[in-house]
Amino acid sequence: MGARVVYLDNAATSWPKPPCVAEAMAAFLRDSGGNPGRSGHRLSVAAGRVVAEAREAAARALGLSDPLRLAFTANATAALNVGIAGLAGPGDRIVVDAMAHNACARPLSEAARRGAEIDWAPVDGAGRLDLDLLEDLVAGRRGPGGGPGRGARVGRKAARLVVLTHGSNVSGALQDLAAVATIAELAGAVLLVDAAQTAGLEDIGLDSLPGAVVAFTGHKAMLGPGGTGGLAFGTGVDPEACAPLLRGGTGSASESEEHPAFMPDRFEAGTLNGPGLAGLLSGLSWIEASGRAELRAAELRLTERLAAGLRELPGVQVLGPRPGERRCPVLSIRAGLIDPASLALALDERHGVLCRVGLHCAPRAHRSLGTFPGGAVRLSPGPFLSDDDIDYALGAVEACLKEGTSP
Amino acid sequence: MNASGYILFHTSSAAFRAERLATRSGLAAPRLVPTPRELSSDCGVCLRFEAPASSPGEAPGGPPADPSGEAAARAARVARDWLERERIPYDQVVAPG
Repeated sequence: MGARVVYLDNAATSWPKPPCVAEAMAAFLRDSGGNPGRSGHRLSVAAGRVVAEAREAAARALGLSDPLRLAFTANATAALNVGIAGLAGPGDRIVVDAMAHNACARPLSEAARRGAEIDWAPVDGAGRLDLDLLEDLVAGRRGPGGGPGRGARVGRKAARLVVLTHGSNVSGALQDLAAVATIAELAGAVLLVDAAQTAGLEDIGLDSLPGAVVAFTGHKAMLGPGGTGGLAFGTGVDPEACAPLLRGGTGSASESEEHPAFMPDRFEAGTLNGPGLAGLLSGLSWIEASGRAELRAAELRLTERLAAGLRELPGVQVLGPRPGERRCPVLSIRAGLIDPASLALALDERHGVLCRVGLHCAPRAHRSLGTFPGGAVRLSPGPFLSDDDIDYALGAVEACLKEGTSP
Repeated sequence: MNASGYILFHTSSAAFRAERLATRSGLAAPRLVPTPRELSSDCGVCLRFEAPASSPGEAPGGPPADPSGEAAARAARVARDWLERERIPYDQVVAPG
């Protein structure tokens, strides 16, 4: 094994971070160490300013002009739990795409136990939604499955909530957010977007999606550290109609033992992750300085290069959109009967190529793609990789397939 | 001689948002300070601003006094208009005096 490391697991968490991220976190701990929003002294105020700047930067990244409609949470999972529990209740119908991560699927299972009705919207072999089927399903004109004769239940009520995986963490399929938002809006449903794979890199344009609520994480495409994320409300969704999951100290309305209704405190009980948000602010600032569109174009080019090279290898099946189709910088492969885990181990130990193997916390997505329960090997480029890194990784996959993956 | 007015917020997040936009508020000497205890039992911060005091000015060359309270009321109005314009939710504006 050489010393070279090619990190192709940015869909799990981005690495490396821009050097300024660690510096900003250290500076926060060293210089602004007060509790943001809890006191009036200079260190608390300094910490509060960092959080305020991070809130503005995160809102800009989502295309949201009012940062006070964005609440920070520990990660996208926490935000999705709030959205799913808070935006629909017993008796409501929820439609979700069949590429959903367990961060959606498991809270939805709990919602079903509490009396919500869950309908899964089908996707094709690359993970793309059929928007006509989705529209019928959301409006209540058709049941799940979508085929002729299926779901002809007349008078089904429209969905209350639509949950959308914006970018698949398995295939990289990128759904048409604006089109799905229109479908939800026509049915009077709120759209909850799982933007874990896309926020920071893709244009979300939340100002133009009034009926949407976006759950995001800070440690993937936003290039921040773990433990950061949030929930952002479009202008047409009342955050006060969404119940919080946590209640507690907020530094506000302290005379009351009732949790405040107003944003962002409604979803920010307990001390915020100040050092993490300082790092998130730094990551987002780096993206703004580098150019979001330029970074996205570069990562997509690397992804297409990787996909094209993999398609040329005998026996390799690339899961995901075809060349040039809408996607995010994630893809997965199967290599005939070779166990994905042994291939990933050989790539790591022999070549320093790091990727993610298994079901990627998205069993439904693997069922949709036909790779359940065996799983797949996922490769996800990031902003610090070069063409040469991609070619090196392609050579490593080819070598492993030739040599075999037995230890 | 100046007197201080205060903008109180429900949440410190709104106070920090106000501080970051204060340069375009038209308010004199806006500054984030701990909320005075007589104004709120909250433990947070508020935005202080200045206006001529209603008592006669003592320092020669200082700002003119505001015996009718007109300048204070005007400053409070400027504050409220700005907050609405920026869509910053607030609790109340306490006029200088």
